[in-house]
Amino acid sequence: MSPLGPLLLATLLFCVGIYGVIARRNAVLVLMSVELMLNAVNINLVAFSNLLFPEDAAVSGQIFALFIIGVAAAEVGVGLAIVFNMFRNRASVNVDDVDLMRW
Amino acid sequence: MFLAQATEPLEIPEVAWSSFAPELALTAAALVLLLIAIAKGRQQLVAVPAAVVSLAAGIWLVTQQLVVPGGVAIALGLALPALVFAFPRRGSLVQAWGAGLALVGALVLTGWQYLTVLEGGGTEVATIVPQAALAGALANDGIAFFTRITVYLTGLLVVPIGYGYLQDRRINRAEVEPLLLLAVVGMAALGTANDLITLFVALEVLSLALYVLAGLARRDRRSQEASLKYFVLGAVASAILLYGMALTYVASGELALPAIGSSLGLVTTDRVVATLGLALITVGLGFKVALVPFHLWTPDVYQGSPTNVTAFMAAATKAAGFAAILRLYLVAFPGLQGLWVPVLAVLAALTMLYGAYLALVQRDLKRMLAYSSITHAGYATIGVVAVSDAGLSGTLWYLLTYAVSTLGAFACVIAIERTRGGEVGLLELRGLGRTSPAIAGILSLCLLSLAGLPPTAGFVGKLVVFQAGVQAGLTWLVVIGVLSSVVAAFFYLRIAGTMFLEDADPALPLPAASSGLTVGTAVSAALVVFLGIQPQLFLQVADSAAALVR
Amino acid sequence: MTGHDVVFVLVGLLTAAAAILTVTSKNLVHAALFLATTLAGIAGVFLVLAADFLALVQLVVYVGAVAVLFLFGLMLTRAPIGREALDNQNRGLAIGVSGGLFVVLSALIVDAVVGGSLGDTTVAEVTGPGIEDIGMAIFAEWVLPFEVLSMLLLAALIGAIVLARREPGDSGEEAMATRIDFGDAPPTEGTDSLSSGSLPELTSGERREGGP
Repeated sequence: MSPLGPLLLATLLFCVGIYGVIARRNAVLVLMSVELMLNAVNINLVAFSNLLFPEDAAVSGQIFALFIIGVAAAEVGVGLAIVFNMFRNRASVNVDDVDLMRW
Repeated sequence: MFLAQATEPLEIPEVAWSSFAPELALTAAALVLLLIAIAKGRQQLVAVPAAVVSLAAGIWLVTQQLVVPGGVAIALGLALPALVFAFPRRGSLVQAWGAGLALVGALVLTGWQYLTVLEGGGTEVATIVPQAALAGALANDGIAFFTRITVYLTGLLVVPIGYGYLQDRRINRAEVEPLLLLAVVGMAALGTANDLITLFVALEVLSLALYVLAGLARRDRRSQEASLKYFVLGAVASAILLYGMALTYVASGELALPAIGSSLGLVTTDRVVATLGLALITVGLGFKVALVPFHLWTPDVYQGSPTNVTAFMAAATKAAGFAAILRLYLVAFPGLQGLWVPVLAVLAALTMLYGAYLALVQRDLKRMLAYSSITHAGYATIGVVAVSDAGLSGTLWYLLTYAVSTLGAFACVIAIERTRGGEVGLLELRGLGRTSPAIAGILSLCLLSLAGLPPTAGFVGKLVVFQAGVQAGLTWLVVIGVLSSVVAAFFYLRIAGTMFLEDADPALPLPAASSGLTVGTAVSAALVVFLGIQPQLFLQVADSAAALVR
Repeated sequence: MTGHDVVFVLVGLLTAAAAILTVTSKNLVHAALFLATTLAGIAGVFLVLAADFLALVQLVVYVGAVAVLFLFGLMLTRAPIGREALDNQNRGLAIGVSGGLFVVLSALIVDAVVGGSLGDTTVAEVTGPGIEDIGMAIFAEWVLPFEVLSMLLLAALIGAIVLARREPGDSGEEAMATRIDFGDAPPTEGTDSLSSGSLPELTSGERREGGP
C-alpha cells in the first residue's frame, strides 16, 4: 500500500480545516475546523509510522498521535468554555462580533 | 500465557527526579492550593496533612544527602499551616503567599540544579555539563536553566503585582494562582523539552492556562474578546505547528530533537518534506512569540487581558517561546541553516520595524506596550539567527532583561489603572511626574530600559545581542535593530516627557499602589538597575548556558 | 492495487466528503453530525493502516466525547441556522488560501513520494506495533510528556470550570477600597451578566437560582 493516499487525505483535511477557520463565523464551527486540522496531523503520523518506519520509530508516531488526541480533547473543553462565557454575556457566538478592539 | 507475559522484564527507565525538581514542587503546590481553595472553612484539614507529607519527604531527602531539596520541602511544609493560621479568613492571601513561596522554592531548586551540573565551579568561569534525562525527553542545559530563572522570577513578581489588582476588579478567584503555577510549569517544561512530543504538550499546557487567564475578567467584554481571539488563533497556530512537526517526523523518522538534527544532516534525508515541516513550524512558533506577520493577535490580547496577566504573558511567554525556538532551530534544524537563517532574519527585521512604527501611533498605554513587546521579539531573534554561542546566550540574557523591564512597566500601568478605572491613554499621563513622582520615575526607568538606554538592563541586553549579530556578519540586521531602537526610544522618551514636563490635569485621580504592588514594582526596578550596572553575574551564567544537549 | 488500497480509497472518499460538508453545511447540527462522520471515517483510516488501538481511541475520545461535546455546545449557544449566519464574508479569501495551500502541499508531497526521495514507500502488507508495544513505549520512553499531559488536563479542567461556572460570589474577602469599573463588575450579586433583554427567560431563571 502506498502512503500517497493517506498523505493526500491528510493534506485535504488540513486545508478544509483552514477553509473552515477562515470562512466560518460561528465560534463553535471554527473550533470544529481546528479539530479537522488536528486530525489531519494524526493521519500523517499514523500513515508514516506504519508505512515508512516499520521498526522502532513506528511506535513513536502512534504515540504522538495519542498525545495529540488527548491535547485536542482538552482544547475543545477549554474552547467551548470560552465560547459559552462569551455567549452568556452577549448572546452571540459569532467571531466577527468580537470587534470591541480592532482585530 | 498471561503469566508468561507478566514475567517479561519491563524496562523501567531511571527517573532522575532532580532533573525536574522545581516543576515537581510547583505542581504539588498548585494541587495543594487548589485543595485549600476547595476546603474553604476547614483549610487546616488540608494544610496539616500536606505539611506532614512535605516535612516527611523533606526529612527523608535530607537523610539521603539531598540537603537543598529537603530543606525546600521542609520550609514549604512549615510555611503552609503557618500561612493558613496567619490568614484565617483571607483565602486569596493564603493563595498568593503560597504561590509566591512555592516559586521562591522553585528558584532555589533551580539554583541547586545549576550548581550540581556545573563543572569546575567556584570563581573560575564554569561551564554547564548538559544532562539528558528521562530517556532523552528532558535536557538540563543552559536553555533550560536560564528559562527557568526568567520564568520563575516573572511568576514570583507577577503574584504580588497582580494581587491588589485582582481584588480591585473582583476577579481574585482561588483558581488564579494554581493556573499561574501550571502555566509556569508548562513554560519551564518547554524550556527543557528535548523531543517533539514533550515540546508540544508543554506548549499546550502554558497556552491553555493562558487562554483561561486572559479571559479571567469574565464579565469584561474586552477580556472575553482577548480570550477568544487568543484561543482561536492559538489553536490554529498549534495545529499548523503540529503539521510541521508531523512532516519533520515524516522526513527524519525521529521525534527526539538531537536525533532529528543528526538525521537531517544526512544526504539521504528528504529535504523537501523537511523544509515544508520547518516552514510550518516557523509559522506556528512565530505566532506564539508574535513575530510579524504572525503578530495580529498580540495587541488585542494584551490590551484586553487583565493587566497582571498581560505582564505575565509579555515577560514569561516570550522567554518560553524563544527557549523552544532556540532549541528547535539550533538542535534539530542545524542541517537546514541555509534556509531558516535568512527567513528568520527577514522576519526579525520586519518585526523590529513594524512593531516600532505601530507603537508610535498608539494612544493606549497597554496597546503601546504590546507593540513594544512585538518589537522586542525581533531583537531577541537576532541572537537566534546569529547561530553562535554568543547569540544563544545573548538571546537568553536579552529575554531576562526584557522580562524585568516589561514587568516593571506593566506594574506601573496597574498602579495607574487602579484609580483611573479602566484603560490608560497616553494623554492621561500628563504631569504624573509632578503628582506621583515615584510611579512616574519607575515607569520612565522601565521605558528607558525597554528603549535600551544606559545604565539600565535593557542597554546591556541589546548590546550583547547586537554584538552577537555583528560577529555573525549580520550587520544589516543590527543596523535595522539600532534604527528601530532609535524610533522606539523616541516614543518612550515622549511618554517620559509627557509625565515630567507637562502640567497635570487636577481632575485625574492619583495612582495608588498596594503593598504587594509596591514590593513587586520596587524589585523589578531594582533589578532593571542592578542588571544594568552589574550584569557580570548573570552574563556569566548566560555564557555558560551556551552548552546544549545535542 | 491491493485490497487494502480499495478499502482505503472508499473510506478516504467518505471521510473527505464528510469533512468538506462539515465546513460548508448550512445547518449547524448537520455540520456537527458530519464532523462525527469524519472522525469515525478517520478511525476507519486508522484501521486500514493497522493502527487498531488508535482507531479505538479515536472512536472513544472523538466520536464518543468530542462530537457529543460539540453537539451540546451548539444546543447551549442556540446558534441561528442559515448560510448568512454561519459564514462570514471571507469565503473567497478562504477558498484562495486553503486551495492554494492544498495545491502547494500536495504537489510537494506527491513529488517527494513518487520521486522516491522518502525511500521505498510502497509496502505490500501494512503492519503496525501492537497495543503492548505502545503501552511499553508510553510508560518507558515517554513518561515525561505523559506526566506533562496530566498537568495539561488539570489546567484544562480548572480553566473550563473557572470560565463556565456561574459566579459564586467572591471567595470570602473583605470589601474592596477601590473598584475598577471595566463593565465587568455586576450591579448586584446573583444576576449573571446577560445582556439585558436578549434572553429574558434565562435571566429570570438565574435570578431565581442565585437570589435569596
